[in-house]
Amino acid sequence: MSAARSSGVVDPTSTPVAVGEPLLEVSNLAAGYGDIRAVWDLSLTVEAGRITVLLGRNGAGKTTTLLALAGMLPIQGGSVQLLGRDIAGMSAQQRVRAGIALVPEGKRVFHRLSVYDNLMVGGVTVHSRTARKKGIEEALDRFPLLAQYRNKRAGEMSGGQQQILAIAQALVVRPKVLLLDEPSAGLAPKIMDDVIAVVQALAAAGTGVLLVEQVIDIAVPIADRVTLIEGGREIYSTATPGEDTAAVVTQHMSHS
Amino acid sequence: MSASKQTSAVAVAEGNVPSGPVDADGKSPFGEPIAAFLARRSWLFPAALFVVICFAPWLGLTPTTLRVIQLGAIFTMVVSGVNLTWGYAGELTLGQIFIYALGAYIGGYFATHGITDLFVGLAASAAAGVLVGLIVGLPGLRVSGLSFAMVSFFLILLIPDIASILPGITGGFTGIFGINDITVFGTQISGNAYIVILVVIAGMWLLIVRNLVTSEYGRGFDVLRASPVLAESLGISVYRQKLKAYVIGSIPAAMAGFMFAHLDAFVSPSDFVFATAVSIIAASVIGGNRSIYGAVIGAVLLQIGPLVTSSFQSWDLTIYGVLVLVGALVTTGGIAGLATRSGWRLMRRLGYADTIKAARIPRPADDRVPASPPEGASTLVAQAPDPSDQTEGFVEIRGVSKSFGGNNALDDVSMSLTRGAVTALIGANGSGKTTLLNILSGFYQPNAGEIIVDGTKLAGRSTSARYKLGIGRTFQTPQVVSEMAVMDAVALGAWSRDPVGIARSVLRTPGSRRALARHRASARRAMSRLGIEDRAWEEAAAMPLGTRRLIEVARALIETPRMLLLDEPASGLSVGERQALGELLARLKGSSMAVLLVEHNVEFVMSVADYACVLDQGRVIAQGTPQEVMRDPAVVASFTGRVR
Amino acid sequence: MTTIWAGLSVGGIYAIAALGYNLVFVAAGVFNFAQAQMVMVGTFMAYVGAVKIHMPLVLVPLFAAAVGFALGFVCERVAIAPVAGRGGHAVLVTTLGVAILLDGVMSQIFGANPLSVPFYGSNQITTFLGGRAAPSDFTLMVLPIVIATVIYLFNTRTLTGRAALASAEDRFAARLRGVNTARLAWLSAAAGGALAGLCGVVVAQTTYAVSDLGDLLAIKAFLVLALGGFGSEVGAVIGGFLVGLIEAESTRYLNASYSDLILFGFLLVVLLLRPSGVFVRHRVRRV
Repeated sequence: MSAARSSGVVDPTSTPVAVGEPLLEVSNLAAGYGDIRAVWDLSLTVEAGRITVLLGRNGAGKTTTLLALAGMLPIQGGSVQLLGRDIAGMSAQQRVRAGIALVPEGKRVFHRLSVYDNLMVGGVTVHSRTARKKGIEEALDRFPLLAQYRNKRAGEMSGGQQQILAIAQALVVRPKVLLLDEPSAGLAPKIMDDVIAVVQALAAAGTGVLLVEQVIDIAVPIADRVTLIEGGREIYSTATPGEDTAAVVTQHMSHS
Repeated sequence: MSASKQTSAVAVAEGNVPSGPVDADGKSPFGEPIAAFLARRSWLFPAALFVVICFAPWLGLTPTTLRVIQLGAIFTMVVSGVNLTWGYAGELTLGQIFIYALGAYIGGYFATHGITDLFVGLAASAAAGVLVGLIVGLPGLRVSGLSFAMVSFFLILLIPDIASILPGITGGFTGIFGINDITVFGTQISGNAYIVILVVIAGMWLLIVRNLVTSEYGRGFDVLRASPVLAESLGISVYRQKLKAYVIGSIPAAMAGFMFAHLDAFVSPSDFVFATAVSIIAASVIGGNRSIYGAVIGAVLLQIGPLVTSSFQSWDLTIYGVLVLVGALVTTGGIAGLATRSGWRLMRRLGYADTIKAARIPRPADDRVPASPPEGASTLVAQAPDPSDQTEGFVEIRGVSKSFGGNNALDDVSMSLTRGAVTALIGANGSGKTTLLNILSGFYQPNAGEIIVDGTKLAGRSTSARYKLGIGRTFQTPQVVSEMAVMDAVALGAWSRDPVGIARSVLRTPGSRRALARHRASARRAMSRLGIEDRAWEEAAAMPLGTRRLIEVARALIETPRMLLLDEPASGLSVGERQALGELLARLKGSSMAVLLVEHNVEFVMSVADYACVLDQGRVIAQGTPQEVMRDPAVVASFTGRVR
Repeated sequence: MTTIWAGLSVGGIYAIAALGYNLVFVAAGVFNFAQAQMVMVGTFMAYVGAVKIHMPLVLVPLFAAAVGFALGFVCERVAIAPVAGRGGHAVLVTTLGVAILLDGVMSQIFGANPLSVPFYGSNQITTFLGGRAAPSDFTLMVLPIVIATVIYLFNTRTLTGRAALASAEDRFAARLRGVNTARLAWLSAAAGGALAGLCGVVVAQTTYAVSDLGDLLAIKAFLVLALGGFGSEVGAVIGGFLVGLIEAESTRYLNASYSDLILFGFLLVVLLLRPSGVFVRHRVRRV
């Protein structure tokens, strides 16, 4: 997998942000489906060029958190700020424009569209045709595999290729913050490594990454911050993850 | 799919809203017992109304009012049939008027050909209704939803065509005149007697509907509406259940048509025009399509309109259009739903809501274990473990592959399950565990390979047939139907393997009552094993996730399956609940079932499983005892943590 | 040959109605029952424009399309958007309500009798390949092919079209990428209305303006879609012509009363054998 190009991610139209500058600040988030609340009180920060990892068991509220941040579920409490701007009231579309993009769980690409058309849909919020085209070409440059199959139907690609396409789709708008929901799920170890390398490269290029992962030994080593949640509440958090972090998390995830 | 989304306002009124302040001073001392008495016998209200309407001809009513009663009774039957199909079975039927017209032409043809006997006529029209129901429903219900609605809509168009094709029978566009009065045991029936007979027929039909939808059979409708997937996995064939509802719903339409032919002694195609067809739909929407008595309300209201205003005729379509649109937009469950909700609100204000709720719970005597266990009823879960009973290769999975598009979800998976043992299926998210479960329970067809359970090949068997063969399962997201008590949600598992047919359900035979008691007794046993017995009469969908999981496990266990598939049963459980589940699984060792446990929690797997099988990328990478498997380097690399 | 031309021109009407349903179905994921009624309203608008207020003939289609656009928009806002996501046939019932309402209002305003609408071109019956047909018949044969091509090109060549295809397949993922599915929904309903209005002008040459046209078209369009498969433009065109031909041939050899009965039997057989449509090979269903 090719390394990321540092020029590829930072939106040239916005003021460049320094590594470590907070991009997304979530405090006391509460969210859920209708009257069922899945996230009760969660605070976390995503910084430019850094990877924040959100861990927890099945049903702990990880996906709910991501969906609420992406505008797919209502935020029921707390505040969410992107570069100091409150985004809680924005629609999903406005949030994509503001620079926050979610790659959902499960390789959700559009099977009937070609790779290139999938990327077009990824850039649907980009008004300028040239900017959109540029974003698509950048995404294709980043993933030579996709460039090779640009006219192939997404449904005919393998699972790993679809996952990479799903990430590439989200990158067309050059998001400031990328939310990833279990990108390694169901991928072969080799492909998993590629995907993780992509995530690291994106961070290296200045994107803030919020990563939800199941496989602790993949996620913790690349994390700059780790938050562990249970029952929709934060139970452990560290800005200096190390050996002990993996131990704490493993302990929690495998015991009751 | 989520059942909780479908929680209707009724459930909210009954379950989730806290009772208002009880004004003890305003209540008479007899209020509570009377409320409890009436709540147990809520059928007294429609029964009393029915008796009054039977005497309508002698109450000195105007001819117009009597006309409303007669047409109201006729259309109650038609609309009630629509409600059974639409409100209960979930398939919108727009062309019920065709079957109604068929009944009317049968009435006209019979009477002008010397057959006037009521019972012969009703039987013939019912048979014709069933026939049309089958002809239209068999293909039409293959694809549910829009398709059936449009196929049934087509029927409206065919009425004038058929009338003109068969002028000898239908009288063509002029219709059939001079229809003789019906006879009952040779006696001519006209005037007041006709009205009484009509009202009695409509009343009896409503009684049938009531008995059907409140029976265990009727609960199957709630299941298939809330989740077809759950219905199939509980042995209820969605297609057949819908077909039965449509065919049964056709009977009253045909009978109503037959009675209509004798109302004015005249039948013509102008009685069955588009506006009439639409008025039936409007009546269903306005009255409330998921209600037994909503049909009466809708039918009567829609008959009043044309009779009170002479200018109605020219505006009829406009008015029906507004009623259908506004009715569907504004009301949930039509006027009947509205009345139920206001009723509960009133009872809460009066302080009787809790009394009524409590009174409606069946007494423990109703579900006590029957004295002698009936033949075929299982007692297996209660049996003591017998380790010698383990049979290897009880379930054989051979070379199963499945791909979606370009993705190989399962690649040549072979494994075998031992009877009386718990086999854990583990693997990362997306490794193919749930796909394998879905293939075992018949939701997916594998591209290659075969599955043999106790010598029986599963290929080609539907999900519901597999349940009857003894394959039970739970779901990752618990599938619990709203507006159903925990007791009944668990008892659902018993119904399709010890079924009570429609006729017995409607007639409430002693056998059907015993079956209900039997199912509830098994449900109670299963619940007590999982420690959820004390919640038996609370609303299942309102339970916390952990309890809903245990409800599913109890439901799957109730009629001792041969193969039990558990999809992550421990996730979301509290420590105590997890312990209860672990103990239950330990007790299942040595039973006659093979348990396949899909689980993420390694600790839990290590403590309860006898064997483990690890999937990675849709391939089996290790099999053996949990201890062996966990030491396997490939497993260590793929699941517990990757060596980097 | 005359029967074949007649069948193809009637089939063209059905194909046009089916394409309208398809347009909304693909972009918004709903079956807007009232779509066919908008063709019916279009025929009346042609009558109003051409006969009542003597509009310049060029403006008549534009007028009908504008009315259709407004109707489609209102219908989406009033009957579709409020019940979006509510299961149990909610959209089908509310749009059926709108359809019945339009039937009622139009018959109240214009009466129940068909009103003839003059055609722009000549009414001269011409002989073509041994069959006789009016110029409007040939228009009806060509128009669905043109519309299907335009819709196809729009969906595969424009950004909005691709967004529509994407959200037809996976609304959730499309919204995540920033597709405004709510806007897509009213836009497609309004475009469907405009298309219906426009075509109503052409259809009126053959059917005249009559208020019960909509119900008939709804049924026939559904039949076409059941044959051709929901969402398929090619299927809608071929299905439309096929239904028209069956109807014309059965009318010729039997009697007009038999044609619907035969089509109904045909529909039942199709549903029994190929529930997902004759021209659709198979459908990917994601669970």
